Order: sequence, then C-alpha cells, then structure tokens
Amino acid sequence: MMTYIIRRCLYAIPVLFGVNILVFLLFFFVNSPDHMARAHLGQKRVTPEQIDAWKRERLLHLPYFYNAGWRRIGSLPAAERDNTAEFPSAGGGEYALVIEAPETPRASPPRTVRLQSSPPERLMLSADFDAQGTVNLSPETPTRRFLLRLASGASPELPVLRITFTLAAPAPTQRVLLEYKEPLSLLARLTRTIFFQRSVKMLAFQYGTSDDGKDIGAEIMKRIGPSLSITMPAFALGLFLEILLAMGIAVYRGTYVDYWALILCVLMMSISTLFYIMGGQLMLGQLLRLVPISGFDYGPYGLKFVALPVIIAVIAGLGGNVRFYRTIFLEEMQRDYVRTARAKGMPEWIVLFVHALKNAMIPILTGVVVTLPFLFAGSLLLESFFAIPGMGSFMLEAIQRQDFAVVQALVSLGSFLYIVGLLLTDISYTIVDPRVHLE
Amino acid sequence: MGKPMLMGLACMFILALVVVSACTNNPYRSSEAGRNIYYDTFHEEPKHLDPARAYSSDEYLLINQIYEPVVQYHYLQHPYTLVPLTAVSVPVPQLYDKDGQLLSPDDPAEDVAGVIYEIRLRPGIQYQDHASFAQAQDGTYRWHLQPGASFPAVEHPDALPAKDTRELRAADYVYQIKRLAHPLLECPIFPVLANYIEGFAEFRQLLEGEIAHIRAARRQAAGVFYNQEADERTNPIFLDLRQYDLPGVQIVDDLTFRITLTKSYPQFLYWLAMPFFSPVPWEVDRFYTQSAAVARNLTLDRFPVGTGPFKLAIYQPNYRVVLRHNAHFHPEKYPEEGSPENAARGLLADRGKPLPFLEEAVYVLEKESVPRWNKFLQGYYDDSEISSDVFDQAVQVSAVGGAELTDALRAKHIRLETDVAPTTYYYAFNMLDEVVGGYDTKKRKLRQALSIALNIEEYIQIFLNGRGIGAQSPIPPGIFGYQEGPQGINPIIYEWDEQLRGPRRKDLETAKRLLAEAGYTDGKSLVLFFDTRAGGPESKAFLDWLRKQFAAIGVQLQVRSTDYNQFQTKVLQGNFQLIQWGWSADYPDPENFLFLLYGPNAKVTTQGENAANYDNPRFNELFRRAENMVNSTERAALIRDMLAIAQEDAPWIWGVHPVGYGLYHAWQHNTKPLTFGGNTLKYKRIDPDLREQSRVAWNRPITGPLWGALTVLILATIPATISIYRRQRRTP
Repeated sequence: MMTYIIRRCLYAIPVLFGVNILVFLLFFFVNSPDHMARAHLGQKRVTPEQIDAWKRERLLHLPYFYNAGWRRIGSLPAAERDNTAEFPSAGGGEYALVIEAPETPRASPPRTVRLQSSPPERLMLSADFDAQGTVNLSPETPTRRFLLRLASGASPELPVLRITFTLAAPAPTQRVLLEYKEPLSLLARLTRTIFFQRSVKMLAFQYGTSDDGKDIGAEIMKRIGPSLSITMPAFALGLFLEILLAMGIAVYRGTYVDYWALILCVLMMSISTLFYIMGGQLMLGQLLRLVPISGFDYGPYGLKFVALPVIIAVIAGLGGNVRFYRTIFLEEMQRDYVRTARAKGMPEWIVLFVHALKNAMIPILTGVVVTLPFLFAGSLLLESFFAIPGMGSFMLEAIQRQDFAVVQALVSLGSFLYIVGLLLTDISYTIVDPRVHLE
Repeated sequence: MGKPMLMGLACMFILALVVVSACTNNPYRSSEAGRNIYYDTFHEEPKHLDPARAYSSDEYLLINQIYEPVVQYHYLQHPYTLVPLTAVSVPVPQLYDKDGQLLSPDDPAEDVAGVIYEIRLRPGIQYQDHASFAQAQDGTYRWHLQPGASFPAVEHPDALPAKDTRELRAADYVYQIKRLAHPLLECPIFPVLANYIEGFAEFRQLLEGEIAHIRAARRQAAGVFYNQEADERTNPIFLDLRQYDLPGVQIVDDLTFRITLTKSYPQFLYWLAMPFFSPVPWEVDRFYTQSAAVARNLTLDRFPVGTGPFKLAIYQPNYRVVLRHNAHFHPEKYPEEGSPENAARGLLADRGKPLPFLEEAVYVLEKESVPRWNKFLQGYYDDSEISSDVFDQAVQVSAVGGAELTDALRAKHIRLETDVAPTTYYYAFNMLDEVVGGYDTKKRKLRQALSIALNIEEYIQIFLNGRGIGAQSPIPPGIFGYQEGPQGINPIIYEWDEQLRGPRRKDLETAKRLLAEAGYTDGKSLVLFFDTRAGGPESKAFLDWLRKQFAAIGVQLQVRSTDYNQFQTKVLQGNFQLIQWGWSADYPDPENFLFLLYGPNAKVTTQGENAANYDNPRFNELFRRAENMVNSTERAALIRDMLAIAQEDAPWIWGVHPVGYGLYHAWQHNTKPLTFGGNTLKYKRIDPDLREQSRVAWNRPITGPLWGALTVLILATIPATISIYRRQRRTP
C-alpha cells in the first residue's frame, strides 16, 4: 500500500505542474500585467510611472520566463519640447536607452536624443551616436533600443548619466527609459521571472503577497478556521441525517412514506441554495428572531452565527443525497446476507444499521471522501451572505477585486486539495472493502 | 422500539429545549450590551490607512477620526467654513512679491512670487499611547531596532509591552508633508502639490537620489544574488526625512511651521484640512519602517497613530474594525453655534459639551445590502442609507410631494434626514463638434432647445426615487456662489413659479420654437448621438426614456455604447456629441466646479477636466479674476456673471445634484447625512439604555413555530413507528 501511495504522490507532481502552467498562461497571457495595473489603479489618469510602481511592488515588472538581467533604473517623461534629466548609474556595465513608442497616434515623434555622462570618458556609445553623443531619430521610429556601456572606473563614485531629449511638440506620454544590465547567475535568470515567483513557488505552498500587500499564506491560515466551523458540522450532521433518513425510507419501500419522501427529496433538490439562504435568513433571523441574520465571532460566541449556515448547508444537500443513499440501501437490502440475518431472528435495526450499512458504505464513500479536502475551501455563497470571514469569501472578494495573486493561489491550492481528495478516496476504498487491493 | 432509542429521543428533546431557550438574534456579545458603542458597517476592506496614501471613502471613514490636520470644517455652519483644529487659528496667507515685499490682496496676481502660510499649533496636544514613543532609561527607543532583530509575536502594536505618548510638535506636520514627496509612497496628490509647494519636485528628486545610493550600496554588499524587491520587502529602506531640507516647508519653532507656495492658491487651506496634512512623528515612521515590524505585518498602512479622539484598537479588515476613545485626546467642545437649518434640526442641543461622546465605534464588514438593512431594522446598526431595492419599504411620497417615512419605520421612531451632495451630474455637449458645438446664435439656441426638452425633474422622479434636485448651474447648494430663490434659477430653461415656490420648466413649445430658430424647421431634422459606456438592463430603461425626451421635439437620438476604455478614448479625443458626466467636489469652493468650464482645461487639448471643451473668452477672463479670490460680494458678482454666460451658451444640460438620504434610530443624536470633512464621529451621541430597550422589545424570539414544526414531525412518524413495531412482532 505504501508503494501505491508514494507512486500516486509522484504522479500528482506533474499534474500540479501542468495545472500551474495552464493557470499561469490563462492569467498572464489573456491579461497582461499592464492591463492588470490599469484595472487596479482605476479610471483617473494613470501615469506610466504609477503603472511601473504598481507592477514593481508585485514583481510583475519581471519578464515572463527568462530574465536577461535588464533592470530599469530611470524614466523620463518628455513633457516639454526640450527635456533633460540626470540619472545616477549603477556603476560600470551595459546599459540600454529605450525610446518607448508613442501612446496616441497624435503624439509627437521624437527628434533627437543626446547622452552624456560625468565623468564623460567612461561612456562608450554605439555607432548610431555621433561624437557629441547625439542621435537623430526618424519620424516613424517604433520603440528603439540603443545599447551603451559605462567603463568600470577605479573610483567608487557612481557616474551620472545625462539624457537630453527633444521633440517637435510637448508629449507628456512619450517616455525615454534607461536600463541597466545586471549580471545574473543562471539560477537568478530563471528564478527572477514572473513564472517562478508567481507560479512555481506555489507548488511549495509559498503564495507570496496579495495585490493588496497582505501575506496570502497567513491569510489562508486565518480563514480556514471560520470555513471549517461551518463545513465540518454541516458535513458530519449532514452525513448522519442523510444516512438515517435514507435508511428509514428504504425500510418503508413501497409505502406512502417512500412515495412522499421521494417527492419531497426531488422538491428540495430543485430549490436553489440561494433561496434557502434568503428564506432561512428571513424566517429564522427576521421573523422568528432566533439567530443573527449574519455575522461571525470566534470561540464559543460563534455558535449562534454558525447555527443557521450549518442548517442551510445540511438542508440544501439533503434532497439529492437522501435519494441517492436510499437507492444504495435498497440494493443492499435485497442481498442474501440480509435475508439470512433476518431469518436468524436479529432485530431489524441491527440488520440495517450494523450489517447492511457497512456494505452500503462503499459507494457512499466514493462520493463523500473526495469532498473532504474541500471542507477547507468553504462555501462561496454561504460565507458571502452570512458575512463569515472564511476561504469562500476570500475567493469571492479576490475575484470581485480582481486580485490575481489571491485567485491564482487559491486555484493552486484547490488543485492540490482535489488531488489529495482523489488519493484519499482510493485509500479509503481499501479500508472499507477488503476485496480491493491497491498495488 | 428499544429503551436506548427512547432515552436518546428524550435527551435530544431536552437539548432542543436548552438550545431554543438560548436563542437570540443579537450578533454582538452580551458583554457589549448597554455600553456606549456605535455600530456601523463598511463595505470594502480599506487598502491604505497611511495618510500619505489613503484616498477612498472607506479609508477616510477610519482615519478621519484618528488623525488631526491643522484645520477642520465647522460641523454646523452653512456654507462650509474652516475652523482651527490643532492650530491656534485658521492660517492667513501672506503674499509676497519677488523682492520680498508684502503684498495686499488687491495687488495683481501676477506680482505674487510667493505665498507664506504660518501655522501655530496649540500646546499640550498628545498622541495616543504607542510603542514607537517608548524609551528606555538611557533615552534610546525601545522598539527602534536594527535589521535582524525581531518583535515578540504580536498582531497589533498596542500589544507590545512598552508604550508611551508625547506632545504634538510642528516638526511632525513638516515630516508628513515631506513624506508626501517620498518616491516609495506614491502619494496620489503629489503631482498637484508639486505645482504649488516651493521646492517640492526637487525634494522628491533629492530623495530618489538618496534611495538610489542606498540601493547601489546594498547591491554591492549583496553581490550577484541581490534581489531588490525581496530585500526591500523584508528590510525596507528608511529615510530619516528630518535630515533633508524642503525649502517650502520650514520649522520655525516647536509649535510653529511655515509653508511657502510659489503662487496664490486660496484653496490650499482646504487641502490642509485633508488627512494628507496630518502629523506623522519621525518615531512612528522609524518604528514601522524596520524589518521587525514588517515581519509581523505592522505597517502604518494598517495601524495609524494620531492625536485624534479615537485610536484603532482592533483591525481585522475581513471581519470588524474597532475604534476606541483615545485617553490622551485634548479637550474639545461641541460647537456653540451653527446655521439656522441645523439649529432647527436640534443639532445645537449639546452645545459646549466635551467631546467625544462615544466610548467605542465598531465597524462590521457587510457586503450584502439585504442583511445590512435587516439588521438596521432590528436595531443592531445605528444608521443606514437607503438602497433602491428597499426604498419603498422605507420612504413614501406624502400628499404634498415630499418624502416621509413609512408607518413601519415611524413606529420604531426612526428619523429621516436629507442633505444635498456637493456633486453635480450633467450632460456635456462637445463644443468642438460641428453639429452641436459652436458659439453663434443658432447653435446656442439648438443647445438651449435640447436642454429644455430633457426633463430632469422627470428623471429624478423615475430613476432616483426623487432623491435629487435639478441643477440650475454647475454649483450645488452649500457652496459659495449658489443662489436660492428666483435669482438663482436658470432663466433659459426655467421660469419662477410663485405657487410652487420653485422653478418650473419651460414647455416643449418653447423648445420647438428654439429648435426652429436654430434652423431645424420641417424637412430638416436633427440626429443627435449620445455616447455612453455599455450598461446592463437598468440602463436600457434610461436610454429609452432619453430617446423619448428628444423625440418629443422631433430630434432623433442615436445611442452609441462601447466599453469603458473606448468611451474614455472617445472623450479624450473629442469624438462625441453628447455624454453624461459628473463631478464631486474635492473641497467646498466654487472654483472646484467652475474650473470644469474653463477654456484652458479643455480635455482635448490638455487632458483637463473640461470634458465639453467649452472655451468662452469672457468666461475665461472672469474665471481668472475670481478663482483665487476670497469669498466676498465682489466674487459673488463675478460668479453670477460667469453663470449667466454659461447658461446662455448652454454647453451642458445642467443635470442633477443628488440628495443623500440617511436613516437614524431614535437613540442616535447629532447626525447629518453628508458633510465635508468626515471627522464627525466625535460629535455623535448614543443613548445606550434606549437602544438596549428597543433592541430587546423588537427582537423577542418567537419559538412557537419551532415547537409546532417539531411536534408535527414527531406526529408524522408515529404511524410509521407503529407499523415497524407491528412488523417486528408479526409472526410469519
């Protein structure tokens, strides 16, 4: 059995990796970091500097898969006809001057760029530049990169680069950027990428920080408690009631109890959970005033808040499951061993609840054990309407706020939970059914 | 049925009895009953409570009660006026010319080379107790640690063992203003302030240089594996801003500081009332910008430190936020006087009493409006706004057309209060368009005709439940320049009706006549394009209504709807004829509304806020003269002339000033639905005993139906039980 478990775990790794890549592609190719930044920073005029700062804080300024080392160390918006700015450099090394493409077609194209450094002798420009360090640009210039070098000097003083930039007319959205090529090791080149920082790390459960700056891992740990406080009692109570009721109905097969119970089950299945939620809040919270309408508290004070969501969760799942379990029990009760047990004179309830139940558990378990890990994930609807600060509302809020980091983290966690659930199902199978052997 | 079964059933019955008797729908702990606590909700988790970064209403809700700028808005005066808060008096700007000579307000604006605001603070104002002030015996700060050290495992700075307080100093205000230029904080109003405060832009560059040096040094020390973001996340860069000189903000002495602006800007005082200009001591900055604090997630963004009446006691933004009375709050009294309307509302009953009245304020996160509304009705929230789906439950239109509460709410002694928002929603014509734009008589008459045809009053009735007043000009009530009565109406669109005691819209015949005079007689009809962002089913009803309005005078309205980004591009490029737009005041000065019609602010040429691209040289001239004036009769006259010009030109269809409706329980006093400023929590007073009584009376649990349901359930199983019993006993 151990070898089986180990083998399943090893199979799980490529699955998780594949899910990770898919989610990554979905998130970052459909929605580029620039779009995310604009969505978050709102409708008021957003400057390119604000977008850069936003991306930087969330590591979204890094390249997708491979980092050649280029790091932006200065940017100059060309607001006037003549613009000059000085940037402290990062010492000797390779640099690039990047002329960004104009944002709107009406914006003025760049005319000339001039580069100087102090001390001047350390600057080495490419052949595009003349002796004074000036280059003329043609009007149809797309984004251009000019490579340059700063020689390493003996003095520890960092040279300063001066860029002068002229246009035909002021163009506030036209930018000139200065980049520095940092020498990076191979490991750094592969790990300082969006894919590693925001995707691969999740395989190690390092979820990083949300787009709001909170630690996702710590937040998840805080929110699991409230989620479990609803899903666990709902699960246990629900299972207990469903088996009891299904068994009871199975005993009365063919009678009026069976008939009406079936109708009731189908009715309950057809009603949406949202109706139960609002109905429950209306009836028990508002009209009968037995429980608070919504809210949450920790510790023993939380009982009154948890009562209604648990009841609703149980009732919402009751219809479908009772119907299903009833079918299973009916099948079991027609077996020979049941007839034998009755013939031996055992009381009916022992026959049902001790012998038949054990065998009926096999199909029940396949459906039930796989949902166990999702107890941690909470219920989106319940937590939202009852203001429970659990995992479900975490996911819902992240989606509403377009917090991609959190949604990615929760999807990754969800895929892990699902795999665990499937593995647990297989293992539980062996425990319950002695005929099954896993190799 | 066996004995164990019976016993089990009996146990369950007793358990049910116990549970049901303990039932209550009170969401608060019993320890909170009868205490002087105010309960309210917030809608979304606040992102930044750092005064240099906070800019949304959920955030201001909290920090307005914790931080104290030098001035504040008077709670009860109308129109809004500034009064001192931590300052001794409202600072008066001193204007100087380039030689340093003092100018008078009558001197021409071009001579002004500098404006100095000297602010003197009141002595004896203390901060809340905070760990950042705690000092050891030898004078070193207990919690200002080196990188690598760590704090005990706490969730809140107040849980740290040592705390202290200190007196407010002018240096704290200066420190915060410097923080507004900090490159790592990205203050949203930095671009605006850089235009006015002397040396502000250069100061930011100075700080950028310092940060670059520090980063270069760290990079050299760390070598190849230097990762700037990870490094600064765990070990943030701290700049002690006391060491860097900002020429535009100088400390004069312990309690006095001076701000120098490069040009005259009277509205700067309103900025001084915003949380951006709160005091932040250097000790607090040092405390929060260290690795030990960041490791425990203690940042100024989450745990503010102020001199205000309240401090942040519990911060669980996905559940509840609690403000508690600041024990060191300086003595402040309820205002002694106010405007006649506010006096009539009973808002002067507590005049002269010490503030704040509340002990604690609890804000609970409620995202869904239905539970929020129901808990308000049950008495668990002290006030509420009215969302449109519950509007009918709350408000009905009385016989004389005003709004009053339904009987259900009046039975609970709930109050309704209304106030006009300093906001205007309008329809802008594109003055650069060849069909609707232009300044000749014909085009003017066309726009006037369309303005008369769009029945704003009907819009307010149908789509806003009557919660708004029709705008006569860009300036809403409560702002200087707004005029009540017959002189204040827009004579182009309205006539004064003595019986209504209000403006009456001119009829459609007038509109048709104006349209004909504009050149659209029979044979030639107008097709008007209305650009909008794509909306849901609610907007369909609105667009149908809009079409009907213009169809009544023979104008065909074509709606062009696109997604929001495309819509913004269209407006930016001047590619529209008519759009709906809005503006909410940053501060209560008419300049903040009239600048929307100032020619040089046209959106197409300078990306300014003048979406209609209106450019009338006479209007521009008057605006330049009036924009920086102090409120006076002369200024009022200039504004009247400007409004007359704009009303004649009709670049906008003056739309709606929305009216805020607030519902308040009887135990809550000193409330106003909409105020500038927002540091109003200190004025609120609660009667906890009345609240407790009302809650108990309104929320008696009804357990009858539960017992009934249980009984029915048990009875329903009796025939089944009997039949099992019989089946067991049956001998084959």
